[in-house]
Amino acid sequence: MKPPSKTTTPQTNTENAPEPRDGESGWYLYGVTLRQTASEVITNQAMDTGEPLLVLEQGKLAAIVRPVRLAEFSAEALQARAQDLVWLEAMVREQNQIVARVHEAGAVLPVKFGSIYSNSEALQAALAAIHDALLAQLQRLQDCDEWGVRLFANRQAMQRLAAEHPALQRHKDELAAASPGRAYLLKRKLADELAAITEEALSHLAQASYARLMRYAVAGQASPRPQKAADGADEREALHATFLVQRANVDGFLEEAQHLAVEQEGLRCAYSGPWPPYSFARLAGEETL
Amino acid sequence: MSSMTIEGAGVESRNVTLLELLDRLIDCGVVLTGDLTISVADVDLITLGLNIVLASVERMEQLRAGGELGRAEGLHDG
Repeated sequence: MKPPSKTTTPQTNTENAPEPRDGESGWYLYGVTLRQTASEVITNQAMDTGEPLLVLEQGKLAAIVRPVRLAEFSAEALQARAQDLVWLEAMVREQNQIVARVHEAGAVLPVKFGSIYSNSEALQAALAAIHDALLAQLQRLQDCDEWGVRLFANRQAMQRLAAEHPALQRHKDELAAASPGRAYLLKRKLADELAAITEEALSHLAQASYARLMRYAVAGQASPRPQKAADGADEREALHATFLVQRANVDGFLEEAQHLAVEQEGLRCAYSGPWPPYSFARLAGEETL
Repeated sequence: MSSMTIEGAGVESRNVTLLELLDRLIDCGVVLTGDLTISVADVDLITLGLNIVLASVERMEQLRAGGELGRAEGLHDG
C-alpha cells in the first residue's frame, strides 16, 4: 500500500527525496494534476533539465514541484529580479514548458507564477483543503485546450463599420436635409462623435465574433479593454479573447476564427494555442485573488 | 488565402510573445492558499514589481508595432 501522500521520482524513494527541512529550500509549484498524469510526466521527463521535477501526492491529486532555494525568492531578491527581463523571461518560458508538458499528458491546473511553499506539509494541506474542488475542475478541463484569439480591424474596415452604424446613417440623413449653416455645425458635431461611433461599431463586431466562436467553446472570456492602438497605427484590436475548446471541436473553432477575418475586408485574425488552460483553471469564487 | 488573414502560433514555437506568457502566468492560474513562502502580503510586492515589467513589455510591443506600421504608412504617404 502506498502512503496517502509522498514524494516520488523514478530514482528516489520517499525517504530519500530531498525534502527541504533546513529552512533554506522550498517547493516551487507548477501545477496540479491527477496522480496518474503526474507519474506519466515524471517517468518521461528528460534527464538534462537541471533539478528534476518531483511529485507531491495528496489524495487523487498530484502537485508538480521542483526544489528551489528560498533565498532566490525572498522579497528583496524578487524585487530586484522583477526588473530583470532576461531572468523573468527565462522563468516564465520554463514554467510554461513544464506546464505544457503536463498538459500533453493529461488535464492540468496551472498555478499562478511564483507559487512557492516552504515545506511539503503546507502544500499538501493546501491541496487537501480544496481537494474535491480541484478534482472537479480537472475533470471539467479534461481534453480541453485554451486558445487565444485576437481580431484586428484596419482603418478602412473601421471606417466601413462606422459608416454602417445606424447613428452615422442618421447623421448623414440630417446633413443632407440641412441648410449650409446648420450643415457646418452638424459636420463639427459628427467629427466629435465619430470616434465614439467607431468604438461602438468595433464593440459590436467584437461581441458578434465572440458569440460565433463561443458556439465551439466550453467557456470563454473577452478582455474588456482590447489593446489601444499605438499612435499612427493603421489597425485597432477589436477583440482580445481566450476560449476553452474541446479537442474534438478545435477544427471547427479555428475554421470559424478564420471565417471572421475572411468575410470582411480589412479584418485580421491572429490566434495562439493550444495553451494549457491558464485562463480557465481558477475555481469559482477565486476570481478576485 | 488563410495565411494572409489568420496567423497562428503553436505554443511550442518561439512566436509566443513574452507578453502572452506573462498575461497567462501572472494574471491567471490557480492560487492555492496556505503557508506560501511568498505569502499574501508579499505577493502584492512581487505583483507590483512584475506589473512594472509588464507595463514596460507592453509599451515595448506597442512601440514596435507602431514603429513598423508608422514606417509602412510613411511609404504610402510618400
